[in-house]
Amino acid sequence: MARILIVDDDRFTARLAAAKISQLGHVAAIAEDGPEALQQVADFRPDLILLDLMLPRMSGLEVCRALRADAATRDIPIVMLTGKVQERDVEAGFAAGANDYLTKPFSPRELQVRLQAHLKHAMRA
Amino acid sequence: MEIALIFMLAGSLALLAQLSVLVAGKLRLDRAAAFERRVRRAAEADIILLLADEADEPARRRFAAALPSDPRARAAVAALILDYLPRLRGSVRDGVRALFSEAGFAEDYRRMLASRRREDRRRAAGALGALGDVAAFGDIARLLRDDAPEVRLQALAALGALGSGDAVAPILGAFAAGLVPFGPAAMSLLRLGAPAAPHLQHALTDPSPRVRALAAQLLGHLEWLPAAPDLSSLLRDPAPDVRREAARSLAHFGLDESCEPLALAMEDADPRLRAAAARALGATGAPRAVPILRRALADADPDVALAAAAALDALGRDGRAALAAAADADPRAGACADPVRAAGPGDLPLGPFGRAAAREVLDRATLGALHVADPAEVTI
Repeated sequence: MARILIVDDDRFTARLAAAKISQLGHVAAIAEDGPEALQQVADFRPDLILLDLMLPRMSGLEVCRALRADAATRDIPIVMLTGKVQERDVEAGFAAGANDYLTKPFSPRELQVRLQAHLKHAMRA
Repeated sequence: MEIALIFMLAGSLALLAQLSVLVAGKLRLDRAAAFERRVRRAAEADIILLLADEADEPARRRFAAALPSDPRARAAVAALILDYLPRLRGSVRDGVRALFSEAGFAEDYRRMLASRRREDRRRAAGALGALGDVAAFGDIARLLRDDAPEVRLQALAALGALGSGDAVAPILGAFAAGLVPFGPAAMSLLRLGAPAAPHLQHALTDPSPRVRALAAQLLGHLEWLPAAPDLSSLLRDPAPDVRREAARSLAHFGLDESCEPLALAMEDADPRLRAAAARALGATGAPRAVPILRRALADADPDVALAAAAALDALGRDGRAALAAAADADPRAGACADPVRAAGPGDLPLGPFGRAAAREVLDRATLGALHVADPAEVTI
C-alpha cells in the first residue's frame, strides 16, 4: 500500500484519481494549490506525487523544483498532470525534475498503469 | 369618483396578480435548481466511482440499479454525467455512452427533442451531439428550422459533433435560408472534417451565392484537392464573393495548374479578387507566375500591388529576383517590395504564401538537420 498525493485544483480530476488510487488499495490525499502541496508532502509523506502543472498561487513547475531542492523529498517520484501537450511544457517538466507526464484528460486505466510502473520502480530503488 | 376608485382597485388587483405569478415562477425555478443541486451532490460520488471503474459493464449495471426513479432526478444525474463527458476519453468515454443508451437517458433526450419547451429541445440537441447519438441525426437536423434561434444554434453544433457528411446539405440549407449565421455554420461544417468535403464540393453549384462562397472557403481550409478544378471554374462566377473565396481557397492548394485561371482572375475588376489571386499565384511556386505578378506590381490598387510583391517573394529565388529588379526600375514597386523584404520569410503567413515560402525556409535552414537532400521529400 502506497501513499499518493494528488495536487490539482480541478476537483473532478483530483476526485477521479483519488477514487482510482483507493480502488488499487493505496491511500490518496488531495492538495489544491502549490503551498498546500508542500505542506501535505511534509505531513502525508507520499511515496508518489501526481502534480498538475497549472496551479493557483505556485505553479506545478515551482512545486517540482522546490521538492527536488530538498534532500528529504528529492527522490519522491513525480508524475506531472497537464492539459498541455506542447513539447516545451514537457521539456520544462522534465527539467524541473518530473519523472513522467500524464496528459489530461487521462483514462483511469492509463493512470493505473503509470502508477504501478513508478511505484514498482520506487520500491526496487 | 366611485368609477375611478373601481378602476384603481382593479388595476392594483391586476398588478398584484402579475406579481404573484412572477414570484411563484421564481420560487418554482429556485426550488427546481435547489433540487437539481441536491441530486447532483448525492450522485457525484457514485459517478466518480463509475468512471474510476472505466464505466465497464458491471459498473454500469451497479450504477443503473441505483439510479433514482424520479424523472427529474434522473435528468439531473444525466446532466451531471454529460458535464464530465468532455473530460473523459478512451474506453471510459465509450462506457459512458453505453450507459446513456442502457439506462434510457439517450431515449429521454431523443423524446425531449420534440418538447414544447425550447430549453428542453436545446439541451437535448446538445446532449445527443455530445453523446454522438447518430440515431438522432434526422431529428436534430430538423431543429435547424426550429423557431428558437438558440435551439437552431445548438442543433448546428450537435450536427458538427456527430461527424456525418449528410449534415452538410441541411446545414447549408439553413444557412441559405438565413436561419443560422455564417460563423457557427462554418465551424460546424469544418468540425465535420473530410466527410463534409464531397458534399461541399457538390454545393459549389448551389443556386445561392452565399452557399457557393461558404463551400468554396471551407474546401480550401479542408485542403480538398479534388475540388481544385471546380474552384478554378468559380473564378468566373457571377458573384464577386464567390470568385474571391475560390481564389483564397486555391491559395491553400498551391497547384501549378491553377496558374492560368488565376492569371485571368488578375484581370478582374474587383481589386480584392486580384489581391487574392496574386496570393494564390505566390503559393503555386510556379515560375510562370513571375511575369504575371511582376505586372501586378503596377496595379492601380495598392493592396493588389502589395499582395503581388509578397507573392513574388514567396515564389522563391526567381520571384525575389524579379521583385528586386522591379523595385530598382520603379519606385512604386520598391515601395511594395520594402515591407515584404523587411518581414522576412519567417514572418510570411503560411497558407496563402504557404508551401513555396516554407520550402525556401527549409532549403536554407532545416534540410541539413533533417538529413534530407531534396526539399520535395519534406511534407509541409
